Amino acid sequence: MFARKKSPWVMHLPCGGCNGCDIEVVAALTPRYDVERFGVLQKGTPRHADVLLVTGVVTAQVKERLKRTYEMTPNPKFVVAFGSCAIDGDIFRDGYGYAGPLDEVLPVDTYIPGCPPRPEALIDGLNKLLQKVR
Amino acid sequence: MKRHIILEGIRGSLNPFTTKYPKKSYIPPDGFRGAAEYDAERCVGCGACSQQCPPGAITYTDDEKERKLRLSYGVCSFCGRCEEVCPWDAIHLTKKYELAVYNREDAETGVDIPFFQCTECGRPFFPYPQMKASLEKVGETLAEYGIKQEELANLISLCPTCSFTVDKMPERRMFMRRLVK
Ligand code: SF4
Ligand code: SF4
Repeated sequence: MFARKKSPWVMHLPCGGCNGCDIEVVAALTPRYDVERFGVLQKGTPRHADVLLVTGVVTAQVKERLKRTYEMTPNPKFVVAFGSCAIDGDIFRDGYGYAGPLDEVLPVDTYIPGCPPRPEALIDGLNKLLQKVR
Repeated sequence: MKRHIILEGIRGSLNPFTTKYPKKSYIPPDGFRGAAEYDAERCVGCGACSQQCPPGAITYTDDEKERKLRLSYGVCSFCGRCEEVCPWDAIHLTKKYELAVYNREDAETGVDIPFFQCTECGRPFFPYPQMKASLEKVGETLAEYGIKQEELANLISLCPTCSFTVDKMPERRMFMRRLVK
């Protein structure tokens, strides 16, 4: 548990969004925002991750895969909904491929609204998530 | 032209370039579109923002006493359309961006607008501030037609059920005729 508080490893999971949020997540990893100074490390596989950072709308295609990825993540795991799309669908909520808000698929711990949220908002959101974990 | 880029580069190589964000708060530049907020003093409850919002983040429900306008940040796309369209300059996009919450329902803002009560049957039926503001707006034009503001105020302070009755209709007709020059 200690490692999770001090160094949460994050897996970035882009779903069916416009990639705006993904770019902000990547921006948060650049030297300018440098989330690695808080021990946040990006991982390419759910088996190494503690936090799933979901961006973009949950589409019909991605829904099952999302569940599978969640099951692959070792316990205890946390889910962060990054961006308005993941939270409630944003402008895609009337689209044919939209499969409902993220919290109907996975249990979400922190919601970060924004379209896209600033990298600062991501840092703030992770901060709040860790406060909850403590 | 490229001077600011070069300067930024030099500055970045002399000082640490990483932001001090969680310790030092960061204020976004002008024109940043953050969380929209209502000005409860100015909002009249017309619902224009809710009609124009592209993803439908603003909804309103009418109950007995008031109109409840709710803006959900989880749906908002921070486009600024509501600010652009509001005829009363009552909703503004602020520079707030730290919106992370633990429950989806917490990420929202809103105002409650009281209703005006029908002078005859006492049923609340129309946002009171909107009625007041609209009367003020048409006051000058009414004067051109030789109509006093109170006359119109009396006419519109009846709810639809009370105003379209057999005894009220002739009065309304006469009023409408005066508006045709
Ligand atoms: S006055 Fe402006 S903020 Fe209030 S309901 Fe009308 S459009 Fe929306
Ligand atoms: S900023 Fe755009 S999406 Fe957000 S409430 Fe206003 S109109 Fe709707």
